[in-house]
This record gives sequence, C-alpha cells and structure tokens, in this order.
Amino acid sequence: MAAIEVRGATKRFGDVTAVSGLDLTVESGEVYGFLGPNGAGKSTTIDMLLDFVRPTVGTVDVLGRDAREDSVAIRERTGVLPEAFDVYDRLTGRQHVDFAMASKEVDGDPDAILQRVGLSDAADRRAGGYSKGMSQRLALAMALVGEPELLILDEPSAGLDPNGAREMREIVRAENERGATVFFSSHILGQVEAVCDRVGILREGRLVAEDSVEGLREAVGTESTLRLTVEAVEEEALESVRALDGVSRVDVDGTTVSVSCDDDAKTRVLSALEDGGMAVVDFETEEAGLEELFVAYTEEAAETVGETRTEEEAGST
Amino acid sequence: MSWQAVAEKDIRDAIRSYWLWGLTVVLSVFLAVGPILIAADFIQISQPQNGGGVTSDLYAQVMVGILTFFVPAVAIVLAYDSITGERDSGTLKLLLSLPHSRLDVVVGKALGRGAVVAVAILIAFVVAAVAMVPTPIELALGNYLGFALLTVVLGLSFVGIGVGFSAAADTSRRAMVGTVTMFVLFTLIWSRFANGVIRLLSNNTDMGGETLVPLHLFISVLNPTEAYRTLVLSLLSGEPLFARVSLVGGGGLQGQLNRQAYAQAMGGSVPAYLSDPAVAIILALWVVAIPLAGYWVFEETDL
Repeated sequence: MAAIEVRGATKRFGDVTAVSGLDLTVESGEVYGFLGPNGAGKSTTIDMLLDFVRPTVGTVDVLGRDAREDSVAIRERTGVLPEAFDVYDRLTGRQHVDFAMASKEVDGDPDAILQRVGLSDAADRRAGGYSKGMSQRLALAMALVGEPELLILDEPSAGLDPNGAREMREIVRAENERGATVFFSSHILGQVEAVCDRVGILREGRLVAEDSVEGLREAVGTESTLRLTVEAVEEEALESVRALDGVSRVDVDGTTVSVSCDDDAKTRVLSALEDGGMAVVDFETEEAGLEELFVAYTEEAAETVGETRTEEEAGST
Repeated sequence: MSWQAVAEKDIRDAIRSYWLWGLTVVLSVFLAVGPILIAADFIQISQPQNGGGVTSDLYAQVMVGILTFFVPAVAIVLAYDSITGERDSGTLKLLLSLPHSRLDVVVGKALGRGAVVAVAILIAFVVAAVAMVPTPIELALGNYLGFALLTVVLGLSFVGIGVGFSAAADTSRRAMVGTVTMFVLFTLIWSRFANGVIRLLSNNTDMGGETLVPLHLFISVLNPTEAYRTLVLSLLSGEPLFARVSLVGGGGLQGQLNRQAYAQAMGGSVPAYLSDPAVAIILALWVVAIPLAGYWVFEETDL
C-alpha cells in the first residue's frame, strides 16, 4: 500500500496556481525527499496531505484514506513537523509533549522523547524563550509521539545548525528503521541526499524529476563546476573553452562564468581563458553533487516554462 | 473526541496569562466596590432611624445593569482571538498537526475560555461576598448564588460569540471587529431596533397591543444581555411579568406608565415563550449557536 497517493491534484489560490496536476506516490517504508525551491508548492502539497487546504481538483490519499474525510484518523497515525508554525509561548517544552500525548491518547515518557531531540535541559523552560532551532526540535518531539506510521516533515532542517541537521537525519534514519515512512521537504538537497531512498523535484507546482538517489547521481556524473569572476567576457575565448574536451556546459551571467567540466579539465579551462585574453579575477570550484542537478532542473524548468514565479507568493501560505 | 485535550491545553495556557489575572482583579474590585459604596450610602441615609436591613438583593439590583456591559466586555476580550490568535502566530498548525478535528478545536476553545471566564466571575463574586461582611448588607445566599450563576451564563454567551467569530475570521483584527460589532449591537442598539420594529408594525399593520406587546418583549429577550437582566430581575422579585416589562418603556414617570400599560396588555401573566425557562433557553442558545456557526465557516476554509 502506498503511504501517500496524490492524483491529479491542483490547488489554486484565487488566480494563482500553487500546485498543478500533481501526481505523487510515496511507498510504505521509504524515505522520500520532496525537493524544490521556495515557492515551488511543497508546503501547499503538504498542507493538502494534512487537510489544512483542500485541492481545487484531484484526490489526495494518505495511509489509504481520503485526506479530507478521514483527516483525524490519518493524523492519529502520522507525526507532523509543520512549516511556519509557532510554539505556545507560555507552555514549557514538557507541557507541549504532554499535550501531544494527550491528543494522540498515548502514554509515554515525555522526558525520553525530549532527550531524543536534545531538549532535556530546556524541558521545563517556557517555549517562548526557545530559539528557532529549539522550537523545531520541540515540534519534532511532538511529531515522534506515539510511534507514527508516517512522518511528514516540512523543511525539518530550517533553523538548525549543521550539528542539529545531522541529528535530524539520524532520527529520520532511526524512525525509518523502526518501520515508519518518512516524507520530508527541503529546498536544500545536500541535507537530504544522505537519507533519502527516492527524491522528487517540484518546480512551479509540477514534479519535474523523480528518481532514486543513485539514479540521480549517475545522471550527474563526476563533473564539478568552476565559477570564475572575470574582468570582461570575450566571446571567442568562451568558444574555445566550450570546444575543450571534458567541458559540458558554459554559462555566463555578467562577469561570472560557470563552467561544468570534468575535474581534470580545470587547468585547461583556466589557460584557455587566459590565452583568449580574459583576465580571471577570482575563481572557485563547486563540488560535484546532486545540488548541481537540482539547480539545473529547477533553473532549466524556469527557463523553459518561462512563467513568472507567482507560486512564491502562494506556495508558502 | 479530543476537545478535552484542547480545552485543557487552553486553560493551562490561559492561567499563565497576565490578561486573565488582570481582568479577574478588575472584575473583583469592580464587584466588591459596589457593595461598599451601597453600604456607605445606606449608612448615611438610614443612620438616624435604622429600620429594616438591606440584603444582597439590593446589591444585585444595583449591579445587574452595569454587569450587562462589563461581563460581555471581559468575555469578548478573553475570547475574540482564541482561534485567530493561534492562526496568526502559527500555533494552529501545531495544534492541527495533532489528531484534532476543527470541531474539536472550536468546542475545546469554547470550553477552555468559558471555564476561564466562569472562574474569573466566580472569584469576583466570592470577593464581593467577603467585602459585604463588614457592611450592614446581609447576604441572601440563594438569590446571590442564582445571580452569580446567571452572570456566568451571560459570560459564556459572549465567550461563545467571541469563539464563534474567532473560528470564522481569518485574522484577529477581523474577529475583533465582528465581536465588537455584536457587543455594540447588544448593549447599545438592540432596544432601539426592537422599538423601531414595533413602531413600524404598529403604524403599518392593524396589529393591536395584545400582539405587539409580547412581540416587543420577545424581540427584547433575544438579546442575551436583556435575557440576563430580566432573568435576574425575575429571580430577585419572583415576578416574571414585572421582570419582562422592565425591559421596555424608558426612564422616568413616562417609562413607568409605559410599563404599566404593557403589563395590562399582557393580561397580567406571561405567555410560555416569555416564561423564565424560555428566556433561559434563549440565553443558553447563544452559548452554543455562534460557536457552531463559526465552526461551519472554519470547516470550509483553507488555513
């Protein structure tokens, strides 16, 4: 059985389309990374899973039930870390977890869960004094209450330092090993590639790519990107770079030149530019990784679709 | 149903709020100052030849009019942002991530805020009773408890109005505009509205006093503050007819004559739909009707 099954879902807010004909299947037991730039429609999609908003067209099923009709039953078996939420300022961390336990009608030790998310020391402090990262941890603790079958995490790493983001990944992994399906969104691919079985990339309300992490990695190959700042762009020099072996792509933006190439082609690229009379002021190398692919997908989609990015206004509501 | 969890959470949250304690103190001082002033007045007037004693019934008569403004004001301040406040800040997302239906949220909020308002009112009544001890005012316990209970129901009806608008509105500002409009409608406009309707009917139809008088009173008691006032008067006087006609007629001698005419037109008794139980049901309906209407809107909206 699929944990999440979205069929032909479209969500319009007035004349803004946040999600457009989305088909999405998340299988039971997998970790699915839902990726896309801010405003792509990720939060709107998650809001539809939780019945916060209703699709204009299409069907949304979660854990085999209709997201609208059986929303409470779904949320009884789901842990949710929402986006753009706030904690109750006057309640302590422990009272938040107590409330989640009372709401899900489960017994348990709130302290054990708070320890798991690293909030033991702050358990008796009012959550109003928590930092963004601590609030994020507290909401995760509430999501973990009752060993849910499905975890829906909307931008779980937001506000977390690298250490916190790593702990978040460990919890995601542990929950998945326990048997939970994990569906989470991110606009930063680096945070998810380590834990995801599959990723889907959302762009302007549509799924533009979906594959296993291995599959995406193969598509990327071993290229890296050289980002150069030059004094002036000479078209002839760029042509000679494009003609080099191992160079797959050259983009120009003002005085910044991005060259996608094999690692061993970097020196040749630099000398080709110097030979063509382009003085290089500065350069940096970007690691090869899914990030590049992610950027490529989202930017290319933007160019080909050519629409204004209206979703940015609607997507995060 | 998980509304208990929502209500408990809301109460826990509220008892840490300075607002609640501040309003309880204000309400207590306000209710306790009344008896002291009455007592001082009474002693001044009746010191030379002290005849009969004064009971808390007199206190209730003096206070009931002002409480019809004060209690609704306190209740809507405590309730108007009960749901929109969570919506504005984003805690509603945390709340609805847990397995609560939107009906649970509305019911839980109405109960939570209702409990808070009820406790604040009851504390104030206890404080006022204690303040009467050193004065010559005698506590007529049964009527005093009834008075307190009716005041709590008045508070709950305006909590209902506040929670209902809070469920239906998408921002606290809009919820506030809605609840304040209701407050003004019921405390300032309703009696003029009732008079206007009766005048229209009287001038343009052949309805006589035997129809228009009870109709006028019925329109009047649809207003929760008037329903409360007439129930308190009925409790104190034991005369429902007197308590009903007291709602109309205005002040002065003319008002008194109007009320006499009304009592005569009623034939000396109240019909079933203007009896105390009927008026109590109308007041109680306000406690649930507006929250349910608010829920109905809330259920259909995107957050």
